[in-house]
Amino acid sequence: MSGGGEELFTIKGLKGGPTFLFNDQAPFAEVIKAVEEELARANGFFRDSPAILAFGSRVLSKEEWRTLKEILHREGLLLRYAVATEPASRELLYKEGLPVRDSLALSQENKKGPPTIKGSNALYLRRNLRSGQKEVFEGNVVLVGDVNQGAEILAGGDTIVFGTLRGVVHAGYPDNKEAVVIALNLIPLQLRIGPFIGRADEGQNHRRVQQPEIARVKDERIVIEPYHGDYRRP
Amino acid sequence: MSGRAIVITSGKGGVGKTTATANLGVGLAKHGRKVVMVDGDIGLRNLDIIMGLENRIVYHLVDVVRGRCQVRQALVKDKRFPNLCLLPASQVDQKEAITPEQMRDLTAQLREEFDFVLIDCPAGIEQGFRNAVAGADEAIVITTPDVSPVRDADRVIGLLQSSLGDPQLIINRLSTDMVRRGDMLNQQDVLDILAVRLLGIVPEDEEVVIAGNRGSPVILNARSRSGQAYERIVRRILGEEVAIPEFNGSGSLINRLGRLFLRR
Repeated sequence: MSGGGEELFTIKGLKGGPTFLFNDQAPFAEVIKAVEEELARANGFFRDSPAILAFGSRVLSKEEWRTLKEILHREGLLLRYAVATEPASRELLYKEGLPVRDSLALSQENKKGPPTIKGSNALYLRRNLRSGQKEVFEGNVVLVGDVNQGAEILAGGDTIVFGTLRGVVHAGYPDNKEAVVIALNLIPLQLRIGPFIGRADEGQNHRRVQQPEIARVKDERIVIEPYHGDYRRP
Repeated sequence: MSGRAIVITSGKGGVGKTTATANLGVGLAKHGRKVVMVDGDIGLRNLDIIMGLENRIVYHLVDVVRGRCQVRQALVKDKRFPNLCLLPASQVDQKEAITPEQMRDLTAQLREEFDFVLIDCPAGIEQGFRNAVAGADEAIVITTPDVSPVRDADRVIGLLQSSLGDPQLIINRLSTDMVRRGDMLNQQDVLDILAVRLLGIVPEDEEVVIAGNRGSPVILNARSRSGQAYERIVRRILGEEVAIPEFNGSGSLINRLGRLFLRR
């Protein structure tokens, strides 16, 4: 590396992965050489790390990019995205299959995101779950479609089905009694919430109720009621 | 131009895959198309009996795949239609005797020569199913309007969707009387669950059994209700708009199934 003057490149350990900040004034051949030496010294430390490449305002040629890419791949780095301001470089990187972003600052902010509470995430699905298909998610599950007999949803939180629920849903897995199951047409043969299991009543002859219903735990058993959009915790 | 390769499948056994394959094969041939029916049920060969061709078999599918004979040597010509052929299954081998890749190659070869390659799929979702589906680019799923075949059909549709897209559905052995009494799932009940395009409905008809035992597919009997139903399905496959007659009664079995839990 060049002694004293501006560094040819620096590696920052940001949250998204090691970020390579390339000096955009120095000749790129020197930069590449320095990267190669540094990675050789690192002795495989960066293997399988998701790397971010920041090129600043450099005009990158195809050959320069290919050379750099080969070195990074050889060292086992997984390229996540690049940051570049020069339009020609952006276009090149994009065509070479690497996502390009405007700035690092923005992407770092994005990383923080809103605070997450356990169970506050939702898995959103827009398809039918057919017999033999299973979805497992630690948070809430929202499915727009039907859940057929023989299909299964296992959710750590609530489960909402915008369609007909005929299969098995276990909401609040394994022991969350506060979880609810809502479906436009709630006709499962078995329903589980937390530690409780409800079964279809085999004796009764009810007509299919075509209205949204909500299932939840009340007095240590699963209760189903019409759902009028007035959802609140029991 | 290469022909259409259609797999006929169901998940459940005994719902009428082989009978449907035979009738669709004969029907398409009647309309002048070049058709080959491939019996994909290795080890449990049946299609030849339904077609009344069992005494003409010399070579079979596994012989072809293993290179023991040419495709044309194994093809059995139908006795009624010169443009209809059967590629019989082996009765002595196991499903594992061939691979999906080999099936794909074989189907590709057949499509060069025929307008339609109909593949009769074995029951189940294991290797035999994967073999039968491998070379197809369309699928027809058959179910009877009973709860367990419908569930198996649902499973198969889920498996097919990842490779072939949405299959079309034939509801077989629908009994108008039972539907009217509310003792059988009706057409709408089945479609509500399976949510795929309905290709046709074949009513319950003892002529099908008689025809199968005689080795003369029921579509050749123009007076039978099921034969007429297969004829309509064939015309739909050929792209004609043919209305599906309603077989619905007033009751619905699903409406009579029990509801659950404590309701207020």
